[in-house]
Amino acid sequence: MIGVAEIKRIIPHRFPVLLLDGVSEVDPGRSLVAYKAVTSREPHFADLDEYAAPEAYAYPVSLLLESWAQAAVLLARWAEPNPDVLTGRVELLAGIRRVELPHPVYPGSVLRHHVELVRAVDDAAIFTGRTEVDGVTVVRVGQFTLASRTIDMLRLETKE
Amino acid sequence: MVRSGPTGLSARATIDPADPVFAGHYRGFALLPGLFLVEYVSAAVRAATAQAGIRPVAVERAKFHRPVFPGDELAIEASLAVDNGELRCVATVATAVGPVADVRLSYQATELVRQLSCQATELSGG
Repeated sequence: MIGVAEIKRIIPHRFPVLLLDGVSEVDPGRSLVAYKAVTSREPHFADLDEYAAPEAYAYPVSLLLESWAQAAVLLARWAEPNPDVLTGRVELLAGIRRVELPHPVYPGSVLRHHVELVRAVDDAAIFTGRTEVDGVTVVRVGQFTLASRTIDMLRLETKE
Repeated sequence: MVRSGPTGLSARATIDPADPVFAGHYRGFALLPGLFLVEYVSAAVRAATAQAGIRPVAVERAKFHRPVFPGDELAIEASLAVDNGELRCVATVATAVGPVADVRLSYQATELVRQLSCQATELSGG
């Protein structure tokens, strides 16, 4: 449905941490399905030597969840794009509950992130969902909360 | 840097301002993605247990209190406990200004659990 160029018009994440390749379905304000292909050229695999164990090639949990989180931000900002934090707002991760990671993800996998908006109040939004690879669930997200701040609010924190 | 015992660990890390992540998160305003704090905790558990392949099977809970910026020094304090064949890690992450995150991870690691039980037995026996 849309690719990287359009995603960059909606969310502020950029290379090397724009962790989405496209969106295949969206029901604005309710749900979204986004995807990302994991390859052996991901930057963090560059440090692995000849003797690295097969498990070392599992895609890191932090990046797997960051990729899912970007799908949540995309759904949150679909109708009100926020491509530049300097003129818009910053979405911060406030909390996570019950995230299960039943299977590791290896290069060659295409992640399909399913995100549902549970509710949005003031400057916070709560999501739930999952990630599938070839129909197998690799991530189950119980509850994921994003908080939105202005850049000026964050600048105050850097000075504390 | 990680120091650990059979029931806990302490680790320190500096957020490198030259980390390429800051080129894209975000342009004009560098901010560490909150989930990278989960990775720092996870790396500390890998180092403390000397199990390079150990992978969390759940993030039971994580709360992010305030943003982390380039150059910040992280102090991670975590307890490790075996419960029903799972290793549970309860960690707090702080910077100079105070706590930045609480993270609870679970691992399924039979071999590791056995080793930790042995270590604990040796210590209590000694």
